[in-house]
Amino acid sequence: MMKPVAVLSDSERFPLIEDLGFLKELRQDSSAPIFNFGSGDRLTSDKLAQVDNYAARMRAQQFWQKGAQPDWLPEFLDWCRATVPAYRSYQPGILQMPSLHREQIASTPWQYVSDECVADDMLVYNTSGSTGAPMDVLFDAVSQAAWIVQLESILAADGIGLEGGPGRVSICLVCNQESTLTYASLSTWLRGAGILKINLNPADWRKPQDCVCYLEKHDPEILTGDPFTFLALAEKAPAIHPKALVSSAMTLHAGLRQRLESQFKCPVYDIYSLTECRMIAVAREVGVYRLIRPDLYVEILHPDKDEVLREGERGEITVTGGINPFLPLVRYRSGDYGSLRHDNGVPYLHDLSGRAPVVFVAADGNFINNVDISRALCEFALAGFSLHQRKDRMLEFSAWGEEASEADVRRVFANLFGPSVVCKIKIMGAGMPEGKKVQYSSEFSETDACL
Amino acid sequence: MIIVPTISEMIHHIKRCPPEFLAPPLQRGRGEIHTEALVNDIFRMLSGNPASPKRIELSTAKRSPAELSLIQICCWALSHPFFGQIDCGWLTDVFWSQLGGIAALVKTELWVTDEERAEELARMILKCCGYVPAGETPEEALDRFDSVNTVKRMKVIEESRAANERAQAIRRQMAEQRAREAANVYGRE
Repeated sequence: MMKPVAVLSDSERFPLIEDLGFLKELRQDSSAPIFNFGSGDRLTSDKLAQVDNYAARMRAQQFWQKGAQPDWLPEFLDWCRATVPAYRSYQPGILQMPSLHREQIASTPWQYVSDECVADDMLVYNTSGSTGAPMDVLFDAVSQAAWIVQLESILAADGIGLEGGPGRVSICLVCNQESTLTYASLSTWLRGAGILKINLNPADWRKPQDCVCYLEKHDPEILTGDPFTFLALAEKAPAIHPKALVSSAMTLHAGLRQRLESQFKCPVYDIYSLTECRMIAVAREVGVYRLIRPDLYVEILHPDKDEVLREGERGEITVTGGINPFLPLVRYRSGDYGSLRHDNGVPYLHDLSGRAPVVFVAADGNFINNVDISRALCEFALAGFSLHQRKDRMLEFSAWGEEASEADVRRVFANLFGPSVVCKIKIMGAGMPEGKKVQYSSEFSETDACL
Repeated sequence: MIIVPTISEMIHHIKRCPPEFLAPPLQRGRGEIHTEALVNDIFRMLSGNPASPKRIELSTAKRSPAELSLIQICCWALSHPFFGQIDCGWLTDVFWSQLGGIAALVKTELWVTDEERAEELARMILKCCGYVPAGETPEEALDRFDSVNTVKRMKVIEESRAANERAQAIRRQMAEQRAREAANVYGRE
């Protein structure tokens, strides 16, 4: 797996922003973290116009009616069949098209790139594989910036707007991991506003109080992260005034939502999203996710056959569409399960599962994010694995792969969980059975983590 | 009653092409066969009017030797008794002009030595004169012609070569550090 490397100059990262003074200020702040990466939004005027166009479509587009298909679907599918190698042999009509699995994209991502794409515009993001084996996801600057447009549409429904502009940090992605890429950046779409990606891990900061100090000084408009990270952030109790918290990657439960809303005095949104297509739906209450993108058609398919289930029936969440020409999706199976119901002309996902937080506890009692576990196990190129933690903290690990040795895996777990960790390890070579490639489970519950 | 040959019969006929028809066409004072004269002789024979004036202008100087050779082989193919039974109105410049593209893709001798190329030529000629080989339906004939059609085959090869080059270009770009720096991530997935 190739690791990301920061190689661009700032003017390449921000072709349209002339004054990079605010970026320097964010990087050189006396309480700034030890940033380990550089990143920009890479929006040229042409690409910015495309983001603008997408925002206008988001405002104007309506959802498809119950039992019907979106108006844009036939044209999109024709375009896929005409320009995307993997879809060229498909028969017309979505109901004739086979569903698509993550493994297909992971093994030949180039087959899903439209012929219309310019290769130089391609960006690559490697997912750590918290819910599946690691994979390269191809995208472009426009589809990446569209995340902010999608966020704005969610906030606008509650009358919240982003101020943006130079001197204001609009979005801060907060992580709480052993290691992750961190950077200060800007957003051309938000008129030069600051973007931060930080890690709460004390090792990333020069002084223990710097993290709180930096957050308080720049007081981001929006904080994004996962429930575990927000719990850790809440415990640090920074005096900040976000307009909203945006939680994703795993289900946010009612107890933590209430705590966060009362502590930060702002709404907390639980987003259902995939790296392969970004945002899909948002929940303001437990278990009911409102679809937010009329440009992304959601079907519920039978788990074992390409059969559309009736409204209200539970099955695999499958998406078609999006705005990424480097990965246009046709009936892509998300690996997550739920049912779909229309209410007042808007589709909602109910009983969403597959994203329950799994609580792992280290020897010293600290919680461990499964992203760190996935990342650490990447070095073995496993076909798949399952990890279970018992109440006595013992780990049970089964893996399929040719390159891992028991001693190496034991070393990785000792680093993550502490040297006294006890683990039962089974490595089985090739021949992994069908099913989810990465499975985490734990006898610790959300209450142990105050979730 | 017109008796249309089977495709096997036509293939057999084409493969028995005498060496005289394969001799080099006469161009700029070199070569042996006066292709235009051969074409007009065949036309006179098929029209049943041996004394009619020259009807077909080939402009041989503008055609490649491969094209002229294929025209000569067609002349042999048209000597099959079947073509004497049908109206020869179809045998116009349109027919003779379409051979240039395909002639460039196939080595001349293969039209009479290779079973599949002989079949392609037989099917092409029968299609041009509007007849279906004996024992086949029009759909079957069209389908079988597609399966031996050199132009279509070359198009598939060209498309697959282009697709392969495109896949290589995307894979090269995937390894580029500039692509790996990616762009701002705003939320967890």
